Amino acid sequence: MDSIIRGLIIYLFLLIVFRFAGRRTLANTTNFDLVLLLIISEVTQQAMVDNDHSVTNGVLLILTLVMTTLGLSQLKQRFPRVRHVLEGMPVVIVSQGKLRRERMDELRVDEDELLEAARATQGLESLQEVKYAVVEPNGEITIVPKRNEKG
Amino acid sequence: MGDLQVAEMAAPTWRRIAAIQKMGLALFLLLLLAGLAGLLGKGPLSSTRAGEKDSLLWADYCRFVRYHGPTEIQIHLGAPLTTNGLVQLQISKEFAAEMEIDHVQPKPIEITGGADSFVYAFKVRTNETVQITLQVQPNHFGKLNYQIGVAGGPSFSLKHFAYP
Repeated sequence: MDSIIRGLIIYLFLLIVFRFAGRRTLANTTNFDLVLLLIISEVTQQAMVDNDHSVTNGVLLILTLVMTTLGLSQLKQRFPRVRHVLEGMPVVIVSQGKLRRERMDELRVDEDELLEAARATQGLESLQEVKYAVVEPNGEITIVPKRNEKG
Repeated sequence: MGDLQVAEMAAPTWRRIAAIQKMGLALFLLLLLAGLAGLLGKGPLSSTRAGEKDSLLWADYCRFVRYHGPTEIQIHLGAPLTTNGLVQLQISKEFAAEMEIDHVQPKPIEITGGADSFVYAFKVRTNETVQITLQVQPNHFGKLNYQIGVAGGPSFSLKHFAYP
């Protein structure tokens, strides 16, 4: 019983921490972010497993994590509001070619990142070619170019 | 499916696999419920007692434990079992083979080994009930069975099932 409860607490805690940290926290994984992720996973593993290294404990913990994920995905599918609360919604940071600075600051996205996404996904050369830019719930930036103007 | 070139699974196969997946998920859910209930380790259905509560000798322990997973045995001894500020807990040799002791609270002042048992001597206050806590880990999985008692006094047998 205690291993399932421990697993649930850690799962919910991580969910809350990463929700509060924002969608862009680990979107562009640097070397340091990778090390940080490894440290977090090590600490998480120790907190969940405690001193019980039995196969049964491992099986129960894995089942707890997988079934909680499945349960939440069912909830998200049935209730869009749950999805919005748990994952957030897309945020438009460039609308009709105009930058929405306040939203960009809130999401910690700067022009360089926007340009990088524009180059990488659409092969665009400047911000003038961007019609819309949206930060998706998974933290990725999607770009809609001004196709007509570009010809 | 039009011009789309894709090796899609046939509908009956897909339905069969979906049904098997659902059964698997139901089984996982049952396992989790069994775990919450204490059938796979610590929990309400695992907690049990040897002896009568408030009798001379009784113990609270988990009947379902895990191989090399920590578990606790709380042994309660009635006041009449303490003599001259001492109480002697006798544990059968099977216990040493089946369990690894991590910690004993309170600390014994002496441990002696006999032919078929160990005796742990504890300094206690005379005419007071004593609680001895053994923090242990099963050394192997399967059925575990051993005797615990007071030297020259009552005893009982403790039975566990240790999961791998």
